[in-house]
Amino acid sequence: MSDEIIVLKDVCYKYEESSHNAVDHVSMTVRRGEMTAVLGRNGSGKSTLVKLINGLILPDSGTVLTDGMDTQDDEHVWDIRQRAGMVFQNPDNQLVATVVREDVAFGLENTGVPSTDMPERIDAALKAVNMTDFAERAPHLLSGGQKQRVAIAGILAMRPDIMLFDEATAMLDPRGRKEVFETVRQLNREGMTVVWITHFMEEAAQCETVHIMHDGGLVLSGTPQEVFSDRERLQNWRLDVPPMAALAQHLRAAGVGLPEGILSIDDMTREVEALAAHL
Amino acid sequence: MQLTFDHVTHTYQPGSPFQATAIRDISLTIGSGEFTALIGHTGSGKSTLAQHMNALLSPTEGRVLLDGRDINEKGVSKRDVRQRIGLVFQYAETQLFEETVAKDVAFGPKNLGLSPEETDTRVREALERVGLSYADIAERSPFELSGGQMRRVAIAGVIAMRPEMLVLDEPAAGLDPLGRQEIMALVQGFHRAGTTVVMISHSMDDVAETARRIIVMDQGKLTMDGTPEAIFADAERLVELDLDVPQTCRMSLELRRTWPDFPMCVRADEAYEALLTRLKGGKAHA
Repeated sequence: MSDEIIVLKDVCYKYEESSHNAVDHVSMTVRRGEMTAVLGRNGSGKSTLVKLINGLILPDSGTVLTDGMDTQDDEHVWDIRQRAGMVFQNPDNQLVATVVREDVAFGLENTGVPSTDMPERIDAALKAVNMTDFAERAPHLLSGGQKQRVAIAGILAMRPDIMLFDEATAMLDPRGRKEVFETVRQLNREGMTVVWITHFMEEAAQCETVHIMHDGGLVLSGTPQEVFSDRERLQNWRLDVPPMAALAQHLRAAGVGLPEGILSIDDMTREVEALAAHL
Repeated sequence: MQLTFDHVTHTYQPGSPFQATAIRDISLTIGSGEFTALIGHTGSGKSTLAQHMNALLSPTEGRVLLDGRDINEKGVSKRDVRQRIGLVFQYAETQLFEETVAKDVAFGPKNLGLSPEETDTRVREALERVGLSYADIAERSPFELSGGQMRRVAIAGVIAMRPEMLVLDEPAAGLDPLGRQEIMALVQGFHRAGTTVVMISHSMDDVAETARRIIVMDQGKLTMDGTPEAIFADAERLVELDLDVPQTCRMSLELRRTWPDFPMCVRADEAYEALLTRLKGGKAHA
């Protein structure tokens, strides 16, 4: 097994009705087991990028290798979709059945998993997203965060190696957002490779790697500390730094000796306490 | 202008198996020039409350009074109420429908029975107020614009009615960080220009930076009502309700381990001043 689970080589993709590339000469890799954020303004090509990764669309030029398989290779289409599952923004568009358990079973039924294996897979998937108690409930009565967790369970039951999230928390309230993000982080800690598209900088700050898309191109990749080190540069791409990073930057500009790399409240309080100890 | 809720309860589908009381016994008054944020979980009743403000919904019990008059009474023109109190829905751009931006924004003023000249004036003014160029955009299809631009066009459609009060349901949801900041700046601009604002938001950081009053809804009830300083001073209570607090508030709570008297910083500029004072012993502006 290669350590690089997703590899894009000089990939271009243009929608038929458009005059320019939605994804424009993008090369990137994602390591196995990594949690990767993809940021970018509305319309920057993030969603197109993840659709290329699981073969929903095929590149006009360049190569996409997902778990070693070329997405252009016809015989791998179903294998790739099974190994790279996708969760979308709107929880209401992703649930189809009238009972949670059946919803989780839906994907399995469509991939020919033996029915004797299904209960075990469904139970494990619901347990992983902490929704075991809701197995017999009606999906439409769940909260947004719970619905997204059921959608995640539906993907998990297919036992993928990669999960792709396209703004999966955008329509949730803060409680739902936290629920879903924590669930995904836990899956990642257990080995799942995650690609996480978001507009929330605090979420990106908690990923291992951050990629920034702008006008279809990949303009910056690095650790959150690297990517969030220059606020002005991010603002040129219509992004920003997390609030604590902005505060730290203002304080540094005023001569306070805070180090670079502060992104979270924990970082800030730790560094402030360290400074205070030497006052 | 004064909008008063007098013991308002709203029950959806009463008498059916799906009966659900969304808001319960709400009494409050919103006065001219206020900037009020309405916060609470999904399902706490915020949107139901907002839709009572311009008579899109009418109470099952209680009354909603605009300048002392029941807006759901016979003889009160709903059109007048909706002209005075404009409601911008969540993901408002999904309601654009005309062939051109100008026609879409003109829809409201035209329905008010304004002359074509007056309507045109309103459209130009409204587009300008949401930061869009009439010359560049008026004759384009709204559907070829970016998400953020479409959101602005939708807001312009409400602004074109010249409402005294704007009720906005999550106006910045789903936008990229700068798009969010731009929409928040617009809303603040409307407020500064004299429009009364009620804004539903899940972003406590946005609320802390903009609102002068916060109303907290929980399970259909009004549970807290006060200034951001007063509401966030009780950050523990909000955390108990499983609601978010601004990052600067959480930071303040954490820093009280080191400095028990560290102030509760609601906004980023307050956090900046407080930390500068502690770490540099004064406002050492460069």
